[in-house]
Order: sequence, then structure tokens, then C-alpha cells
Amino acid sequence: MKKNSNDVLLEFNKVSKKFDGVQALKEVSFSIKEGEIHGLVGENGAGKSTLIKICAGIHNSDSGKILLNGKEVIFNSPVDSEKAGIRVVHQEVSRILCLNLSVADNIFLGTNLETSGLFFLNRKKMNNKASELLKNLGINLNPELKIGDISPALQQLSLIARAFYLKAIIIIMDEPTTALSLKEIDNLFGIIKKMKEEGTTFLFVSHKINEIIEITDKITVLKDGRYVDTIENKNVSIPTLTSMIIGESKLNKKLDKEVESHHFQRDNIILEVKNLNSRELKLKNITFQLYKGEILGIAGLLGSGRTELLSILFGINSYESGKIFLNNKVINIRNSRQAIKNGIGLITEERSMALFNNLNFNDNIVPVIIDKLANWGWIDNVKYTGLAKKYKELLGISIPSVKTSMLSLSGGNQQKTLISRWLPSNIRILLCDEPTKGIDVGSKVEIRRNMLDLSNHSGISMIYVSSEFDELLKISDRILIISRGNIVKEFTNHEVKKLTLKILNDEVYKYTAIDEKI
Amino acid sequence: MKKIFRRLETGVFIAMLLIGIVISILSPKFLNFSNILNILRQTSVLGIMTMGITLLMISGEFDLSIGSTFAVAPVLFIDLMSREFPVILALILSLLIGVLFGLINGFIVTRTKVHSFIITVGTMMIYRGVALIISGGWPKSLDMIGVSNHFIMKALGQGKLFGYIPSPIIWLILIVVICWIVLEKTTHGFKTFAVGGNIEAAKMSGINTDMVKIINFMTVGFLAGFAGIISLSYMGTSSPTMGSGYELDAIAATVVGGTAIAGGAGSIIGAFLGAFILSEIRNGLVLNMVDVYYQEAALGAVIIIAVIINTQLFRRLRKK
Repeated sequence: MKKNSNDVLLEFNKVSKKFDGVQALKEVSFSIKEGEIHGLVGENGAGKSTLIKICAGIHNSDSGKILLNGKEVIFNSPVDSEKAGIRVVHQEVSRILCLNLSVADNIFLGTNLETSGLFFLNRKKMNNKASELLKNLGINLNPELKIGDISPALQQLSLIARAFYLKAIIIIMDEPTTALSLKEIDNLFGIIKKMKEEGTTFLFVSHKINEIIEITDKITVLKDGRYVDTIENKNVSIPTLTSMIIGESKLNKKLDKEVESHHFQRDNIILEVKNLNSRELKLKNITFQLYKGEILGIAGLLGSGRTELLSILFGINSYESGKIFLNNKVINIRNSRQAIKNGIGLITEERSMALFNNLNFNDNIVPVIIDKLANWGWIDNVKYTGLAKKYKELLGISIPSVKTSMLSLSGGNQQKTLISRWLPSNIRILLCDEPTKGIDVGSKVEIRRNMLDLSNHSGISMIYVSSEFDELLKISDRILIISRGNIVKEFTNHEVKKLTLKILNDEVYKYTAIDEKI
Repeated sequence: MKKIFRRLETGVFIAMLLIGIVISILSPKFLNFSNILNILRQTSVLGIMTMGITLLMISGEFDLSIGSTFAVAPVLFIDLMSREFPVILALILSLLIGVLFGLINGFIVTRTKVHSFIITVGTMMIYRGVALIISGGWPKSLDMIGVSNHFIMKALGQGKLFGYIPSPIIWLILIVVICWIVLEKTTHGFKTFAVGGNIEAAKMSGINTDMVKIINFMTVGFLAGFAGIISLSYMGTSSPTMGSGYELDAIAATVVGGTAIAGGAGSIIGAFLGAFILSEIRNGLVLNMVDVYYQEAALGAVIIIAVIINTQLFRRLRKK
């Protein structure tokens, strides 16, 4: 089976892709050789996901070529890509599974199912075949189980079994380990190595640098949608790779602290969380304080509990034990309405969760304060439109009219709209979950400036969650590190002033690594 | 020009004109003032129910029980009057039962989170049962209890403004205007669009989404009962089986008028035109002496064509 391992299997040739004016990929070229495990790394927004989606047939590239075994291929749908032998295991496996069906059903879904006669499924044959496929991967799993009832790790392995059944020649794995325990990761790596021996090629995408170094043969680095380099994974150290991903100059240079001119009241606690626990959300003994007018950065990776913590403070999820104090009084927030009444607002990680795409820009500014814009339920049109115009000016949102459809706004302008939604309300605390996610660099700077202005002028306190640590350094007064549902470290205001990106990065990964060993 | 094509109502307005042109070519009697008034009068009962359904559907819910509520209100009205209740008190109580039925629907749907489609299928049967129980299964007429000349009956059904315009038309226009104002000018209207467009986002903006839905369910119940009483006042009789199937007519009229089945978008004027189209077609079929048995089938076909014109053709124009 094993062919000459010097043959190029998959080649990207100047692949470019633009979304709403944001250049997600710019002339990316590199190649993957047959039988290798190729790592792909980069910061958020570096273009990893876009590249994978092009391979999976979800997006089309604007220009450039993809060559498979030397022949140009164009995938217009996931079916095309699968037919060509490319199998993508996406980050959120549950989204591409039919959770109501069995493991075996999911393995054979959309393939030539095992049938007896023309129409009747042969369950016995399907289940036997599925068992056999799973056993080949070293898993003992009853294929009749509903796939929604098994762990994410097993769901992922079922998809790999499917890839095996479909005789995939290259398997692309997008952040496969985020939902897995250390033991499950070891098991997965064992399977990947075994499959590699049998001739399968892998493209392995991860932001966990230690894993990338452990499993891959070669590593390609992307940055801001551009190709940086492909390196042999021999003697590569974590610091070298990190500096390639973030950029050498950025890493060591003392960052321009946008927060320099920012002031907060150090002796005045507005929000205090004490021993907050939630088994369901995997949060353990969360304790911290937020000062008046402060911007508190929270650094954590995906799945660290950062989003879950904010969801509790905003009343979306409940907690089992612990107390939340607002201005030294215990508060019990059971839903978002109560959170808003207590002066707490939230900017969600997923913009689509908060946007009204059926409405216009001006309508998206007002939902929080709509009752204040009306007399006896009758909307005051002058105030309504005036507010939209005011924030369009104030935040520099460039659209032709306040009645522009929300759908036609760019990601940056959508996010500014969501920020301005909270400005006219009387909130005192703004919870921000990845507020600059998926936004181009220019808009990111503007949004951070907006946030700082907001805090400076109206004294609003913020909890600012981000996985882009350079952003945290630029904007935060203090930084907490959250890992596996625990707050593991605090950098005081004094420490943050001297903190470099390298140190923060190392700290976050250090705690993640320590946790995983336990 | 672009702006006009973007409006939800444009497609249904053009559909109405096209259908009108076809009918008037086939039958010269169609296009005269008294026939148009006649169509409007025939639209009034369905139109009033459609207004409520439109508000409710924009907020993302259905109500299939309105055909039954449509029967309960007039049946109760007649029953109370035959028990010597003053007409005005009987009227108020009969209108309140519609509101109560809507409240029940809204309460169950928002508490249980079971889809309103199935909940209101259940209440549709229960409410129909209530109509049968109150009436004992018999139709009754206003003449039987001697109130057919009461001024309230005149005002609701048989009277004519300036001796010319039947009062159901006046009520229809009044309700269209009120519902348009509620949807376009009030906070409740805004919240209705928000809840139907993205319920999670509405919750996160502090909107009481359950309350918005319950108010819309109550409005639908009230308008269904009111339409039933208008119908009684005009026809002079009520029957426990009246109004069955009207819920589907109202949903059809709403969707023809550009309201999204999934909620979040819709138009009161469009829904009014949608209801008008349904009566227009029925009228045209009668004028052209189409066999009664063919009429329903033809109506169904035209509804589908009208929806296709409005959604498919105009979606493309709207995008430009």
C-alpha cells in the first residue's frame, strides 16, 4: 500500500478568499505529501478554518488552485470533496452528525448503505460492518447506540471510522482535541499514527502547540491569511513555533498599551463573585472582584469555562452554589431580564445570536431600551431615529442610511451595532465575549477604542474575554487566567503593565498543560 | 422604484390587480362599485381574523383554534341574550371569552414550549366542543329572541353608513388601521418583530418574550370572537359549526400577504390584501358561474400562485 512518500498529494496554489471585504486568505501556497501528518497552525483569524472549508467544499476560493494528485479539483459541495477522497472532521462534530440516529447509521449515512433487496436496510450487516470498522480503530463500541448519547471523543472516532469506510485518502481534522480528555487524546493520536502507517494522510489543525509538535511530521504556519512557512517537525521547540505564529517582532516588543490613559477606582468593588460552582458548566470555585470602571481581561482557551462564566453572570445559565455580590449586595440573577435590570449587559461570542437580521440597523440599536423610547407604548420616532444616527456617528459605522438592512453590514459594523445597543441603557457592567472575533484588523482597533472611550466616559466596568492575548494586553487593567473551569492566576494592574505577550502565552499554556496531567 | 419592490405588499398588490384584470375580462359585472363593496363586505369577517393571525405569526406562533372561537363568541352571545342578559353586557362577556381562549392558548404554549401548532389543534377541538355544549347543537337566530332590530346589531352588522357602506366594512377598516398602528408604531409591534426574528436575541435584550406572545394570542382570540359576532349580526343566525376552516383561510391570507411562516417579517396591509384576494377570487368564480364543486379547488390553485408570485418573484427583486 505504501507509496513513495515523496509524492505530493494535496497542493494549494495561490489560494485567496475574501469575505465582506475581509481578506481571509491571500495567495496561500503549500503542499502536503502522501502519508504525512501535516500540521496547520495560526492565530484566530489566520485563515485556518477558511482553508479547511474550501477543502470541504463549503466555500469556493476566489482565485488560486487546489491540486489533488496533480490534478486540479474544484469542490462545489461537501459531496464533491468527499467523492474525491477528502474527509473533514469538523471542530464541532455534533453539528454534522444526526444525533437522533445510531452510530452505525451515522457511519453509513449518505453512502451505499448495506441493503438486502433493493430498499430494505440490513441492520445486522450494517452493525457488524460498523463494529468491524470501530475495532480496526481499537474501539469497542456498540454501533446500535444513539450517537447523541455517546461522548464527543467517541463521536469523533465514529466519524474517523466513516472516513475509513469511505476510503478517504486525506483526513482533515479541525481542532479535534478541544472536547477530549488527555487519555482520549492519547488514544486518538495512537489511531492517527496507526492509520498513517497504513498510508492515510492527515491535515491536523490545532491551536495546542504541544499537540502539534507531538503528532505532526511537518508544520505549516499561517498568519493574517498569508502563508508564513512550512517547517520540518524536527527539534522544533514550543517557543520557536509560538514566535512564528504570533510574529517575532510582536512577541518581544513592548505592546502599545491602548489602556494607558484608562483609569479605574481601585478601592471600589462593583461586582464580586465568591466560590461559584456549577457541575453542569464545569466551573469550580470561581472567585474574583471587578472594580468600578475597570476592564478585567480573562484569558482562556476554548472550553476553559470563560463563556460559561459570562452566561451565569447574565442569567442565561444557573449555578449550584456560590454568591454574586453587586455593590456589596447579594443578587440572584435568574434570567437576562433581571441581569439587565441590575445593570449588566452582554456582548455574545456568536454575533448571530444577538442580531435581528430581519430588521434594519436602527431597529438593532434599540431593543434594550425600546420602552424608554415610547410614551404609553407609542414609539417616539424622533428619538428612535435620533439614537441610531447618534451611534452611527459616534462609533463611525459607515453605512448609507440608518435604515440599512442589518444583513448588509460587515462583521465589524455588526459588532459596533451590538455594542451601541448597550450604550443608551443604564448598564454599569458590560460582559464582552470575544468582542472582536472574526473582524478585520482595522475594525478591531476601532472597537477596542470604542470600548475604552465607553469605559472612560461613563465609568462602565467590563469583563473582557478573549483568546487573542495581545488584545487582552492592550486593553485590560488586570488579567485573570481561566483554565478547565478554574481561575488559576491573576496579573495585577502593576504586573499587567510589564507583561509581555510571550509570558502571558506561556502562562496560559502552562496551566493548561498542568491541568491535563492531573 | 427599488424601494417599492422591496416592500412586502407590492407582490400581493400586483397579484390582486392581475387577478382583478383576468376576472373583469371574463365578466363585465366584476368591475363596478357595488360589486367591489360586496367583495369588501365578504372580506370583512376573514379580514378581521387575518389581522390577528398576522400579528401572531410575525411573533413566530400559529393559532388553529380561531375557527372555533369564531363560533363560541356568537353562540354565547345569543345564549346570554336569550337568558335576558342586557345586550351590551352579553356582548362584552362574549368578546371576553375570545380573549380568555387566547390567553389559555398563549399560557400553555409559553409554559410548555410545545409548538403552538399542536396545542391549538387541541384547543380547536375543545373550543368547538364548548360551542356545541352552549348551543345544544342547534342554530339560533336573532329573530327568535327578538333583538334583530337592536341598535347594537345594526351597528355591528346590518347597518349601513350613509345608507351605503355596510357596517362590517367600517369595522374591518378600523381594525386594519389599529393593527397597522400597533405593529408599525408601538413598542409591542417592535417586540413582535424582534421575538419572531430571533427569540434568543430578544431574550438577551431583556424583552419579555412570553408576554409578547401571550398578548398576541389574546388579540387573535378577541378578533376571532369579534368576527364571529359581526357575522352573527349580519347574517342574523349563529350555529355551533360556523367558522370551521376559517383558521386556514386566515393563515393563507396572511402568507399570501407576505408574512413569513417562520415569523419575523410581515405586513398588515399585505395581509388585508391577501384576505381581499381570497374574496375576490370567490366573487369572480361566482360571477363566472363556475360550478360550486370546482370553486374550492380553483381557490386553492390561485392561493398557491399568489404565494409564488409574492415570495419567489419578489424575493429576487427585493434582493437587488
